[in-house]
Amino acid sequence: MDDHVKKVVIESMKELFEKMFFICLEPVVGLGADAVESASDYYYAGMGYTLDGKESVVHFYLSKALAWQMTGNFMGIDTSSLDEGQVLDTLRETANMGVGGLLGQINPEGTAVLGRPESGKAYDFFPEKLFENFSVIAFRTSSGILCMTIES
Amino acid sequence: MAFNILIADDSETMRAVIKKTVVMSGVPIGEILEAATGREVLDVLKETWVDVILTDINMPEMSGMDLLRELKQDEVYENIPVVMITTESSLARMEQARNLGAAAYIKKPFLPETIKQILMEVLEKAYAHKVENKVFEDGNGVEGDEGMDF
Repeated sequence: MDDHVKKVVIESMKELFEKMFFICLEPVVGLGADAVESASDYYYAGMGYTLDGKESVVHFYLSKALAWQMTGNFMGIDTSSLDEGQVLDTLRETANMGVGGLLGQINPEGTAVLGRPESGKAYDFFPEKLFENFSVIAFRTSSGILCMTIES
Repeated sequence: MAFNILIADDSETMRAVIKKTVVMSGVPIGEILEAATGREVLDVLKETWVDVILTDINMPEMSGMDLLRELKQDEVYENIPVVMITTESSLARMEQARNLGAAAYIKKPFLPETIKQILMEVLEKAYAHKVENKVFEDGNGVEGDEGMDF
């Protein structure tokens, strides 16, 4: 991931989280796997797209507390009134908006084809592996960590 | 005059958020209807008259663009204003929506104020259109601009 794309990702994610979820994202450089507590409690969201014949997938890993807080803020209700279906739906919409916003910047001609967003519990989330193998963009929030990667 | 508003998005939470924004906007509402796909929008339209449609683009079964194309080819539905509310924010996509006859285009993430403002503008325009048609049909002028009773 080149620096321009990384900058666009950071700015579009900050805008998304502030506008829709009222959550401030603080980009963190050089975050290590040890920053992720309780990896078994993480959620996953992802969405693929095809641009110029090349397929890519944007992966999001985020703490359970952050996922529930986002959803509560998004819907304007207390987290105790939420169910997991609403959380997973919000995460799919987050992936949709995150990828759509990114492509709006890096592909203004609109030739990219979007896939369907997915979400679920992050059963395959291994922070050590993620931080070693991918160019991770990480954010700290008041409710936990959000990690993003773009796999091409 | 109260308006029937149809919200189409495959995300239930997004529909709930848009619905809440519309309710809080002050627009006089008759009924708010929901659909998860473009196909469901067409099913709703068979049963209920709708004054404006707020629709996502990226939906399963029938996308918002396909829905827009279908509506504009149907003489019963062609004048229903359609507002696209979508993550697809490229200029080309917006141009495509405009060419297909979308009344407006709102990018996600959005501010509630944006939906309120655009919804009011679109309804005002549609209402003015109805007044103009009345003048044409009656052959009489309508005194003053009645505007919108928001």
